[in-house]
Amino acid sequence: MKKRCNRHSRLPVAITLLTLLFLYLPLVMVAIASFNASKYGGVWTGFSLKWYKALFKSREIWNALTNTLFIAFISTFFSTLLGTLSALALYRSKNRFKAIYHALIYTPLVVPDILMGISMLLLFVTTFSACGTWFQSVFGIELELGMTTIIIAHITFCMSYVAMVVLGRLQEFDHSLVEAAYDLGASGLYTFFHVTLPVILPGVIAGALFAFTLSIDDFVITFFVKGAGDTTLPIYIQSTMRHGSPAILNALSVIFLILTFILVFTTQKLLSNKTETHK
Amino acid sequence: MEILRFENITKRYGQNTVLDHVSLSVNEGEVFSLLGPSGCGKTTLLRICGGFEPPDEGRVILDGVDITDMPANRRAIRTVFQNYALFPHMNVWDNVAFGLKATGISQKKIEEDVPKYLDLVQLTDYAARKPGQLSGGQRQRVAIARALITKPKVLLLDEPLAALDLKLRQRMLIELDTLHDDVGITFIFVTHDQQEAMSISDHIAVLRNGEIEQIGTPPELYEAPRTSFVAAFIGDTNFFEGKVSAINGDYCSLNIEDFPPLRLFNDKKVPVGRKVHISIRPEKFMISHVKPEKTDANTNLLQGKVEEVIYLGSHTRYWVRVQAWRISVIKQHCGYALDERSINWGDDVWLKFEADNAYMLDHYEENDENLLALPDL
Repeated sequence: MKKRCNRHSRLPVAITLLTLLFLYLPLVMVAIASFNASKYGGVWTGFSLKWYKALFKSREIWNALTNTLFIAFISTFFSTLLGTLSALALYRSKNRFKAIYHALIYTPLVVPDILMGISMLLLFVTTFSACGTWFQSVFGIELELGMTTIIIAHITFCMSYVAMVVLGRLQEFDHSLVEAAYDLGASGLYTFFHVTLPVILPGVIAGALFAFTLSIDDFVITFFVKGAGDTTLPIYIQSTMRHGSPAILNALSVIFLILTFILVFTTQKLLSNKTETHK
Repeated sequence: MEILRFENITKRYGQNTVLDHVSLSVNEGEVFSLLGPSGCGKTTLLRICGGFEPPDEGRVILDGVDITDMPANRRAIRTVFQNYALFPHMNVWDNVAFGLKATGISQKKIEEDVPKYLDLVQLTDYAARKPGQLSGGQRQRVAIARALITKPKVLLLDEPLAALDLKLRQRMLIELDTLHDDVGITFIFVTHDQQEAMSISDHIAVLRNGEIEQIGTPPELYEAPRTSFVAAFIGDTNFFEGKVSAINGDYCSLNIEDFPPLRLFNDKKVPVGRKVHISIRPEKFMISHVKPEKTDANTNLLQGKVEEVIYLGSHTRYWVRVQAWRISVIKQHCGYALDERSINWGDDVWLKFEADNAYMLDHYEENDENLLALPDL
């Protein structure tokens, strides 16, 4: 009797292993290929670190990486700020249009990227042709597609993600904490910075990381709104895949993988610490 | 001396009137309870007092100053919330220090005061813990220390014991009472539990449907309930309906269906021929096998049959059938209960009560009998 109770079915374990294999086998293959001396995948011609060397020497890649990170940091900062504020506004709102606001913030999440890209390109081009001359005469800056338009586009779609993540955190937020802070004599601003923000901070951080990842990863929208010479990493990878050697990209992928794992691990640790104190 | 006064407070949510012209006055240093079933408006009154909701009509006067339009963070009133609302990201020390920090009190004063108040609620050893690592009773003590450290004129407690289990509730009640004696601040205590209110309060306001039923000291409410609601909500009772048939000085004769004429104290000066409702508490009856001697005209005797006996250790509850009435009777065991000749199910018994121990009600509603929740035998 006892034996039967102790015997677990092996099926769940098998399914889990298969799923993990399905998810990680491609990554493992990329990692192996990155050490392959052959220029084209498929045939193993010997161990080599030459792709990594080429990677670090490539000026184009470093340029693309710098651009990507620059865009990611700026757009993460602003989308986190705006997203958090809109989540707070939505949470507090007792307005009868609340459902509409909610839908308006939510929609960019479900609108296809390609549509976002086309519509934003249209918006930029129209704006530039409408007030480009005026802008140049007043500020002396020529309006054109470039880093700024990429950043604006990234902020726009990242903001919705941040707002949704923070709003999720706010749903669990106990409003009596705010009342308690007021009750103890705290001002609205003091309450926000010492009570509300610290309590929802894990949500804000998670939202920021989300935005950062989305920004780094984005190809479609960036492709539409970028200027002629701008290259971000996804754009570079895409063009290299078409014209050049994919082998250097394997090495790039491995380095990105390692960085991603470090990032995920750190945030997990950070978030679990935060929730522990919350519970 | 009066510290807090509500004048004609009215609050509506849409069509629903939650508070209907509520006026009451709280004395400095006392424990004042707002007692009533859920939905009676007691919590809304507390939130109006704390400044979390504005009343639609009426004024709130604190220590002679009209604070109706004053924001919550400027009132000298603190609240202990039902769920305690401790800041989860701060440890006990920071929670207690919050009110001082937020109002810009000097660090030196904070470091002087916090240990004092941690000591007051016996949490000195827990200063570094987070609220999540505390028990329910400890959390409540943090909430109280956090409120008291800012030296409020009035402390509001919103069902502070509701989240605790029964044993802890009784201990915290005694702790609260001791704490109140120590700090001497006015406590306003919101509860739906009449025993809690009775044991801790100087005065109790019984609320129902947004109106005050009666305000009084615990013995006043128990011994002299004005309405059937108060009589039934606080403690246990028996209701009777009868007609005044004669007046003898301060007393009157009351005819109750199936009963011999009864003698009652007529403090309401009810004239002959008027119908009245009376409440007689179960412990006011004396139950016995033998017919008691009728010592004077004010002694009333009834004869009945025991329908149910519930032994409860310190006392026994009997349900006695007298014609159409079923009367709840409590007998306290003064001696060693096993020595007494016990009254059993089906016994014929005599009930005796004095004219002064029945109480006439100003207002009677049949629904209120449901509060007594008589089991159907």
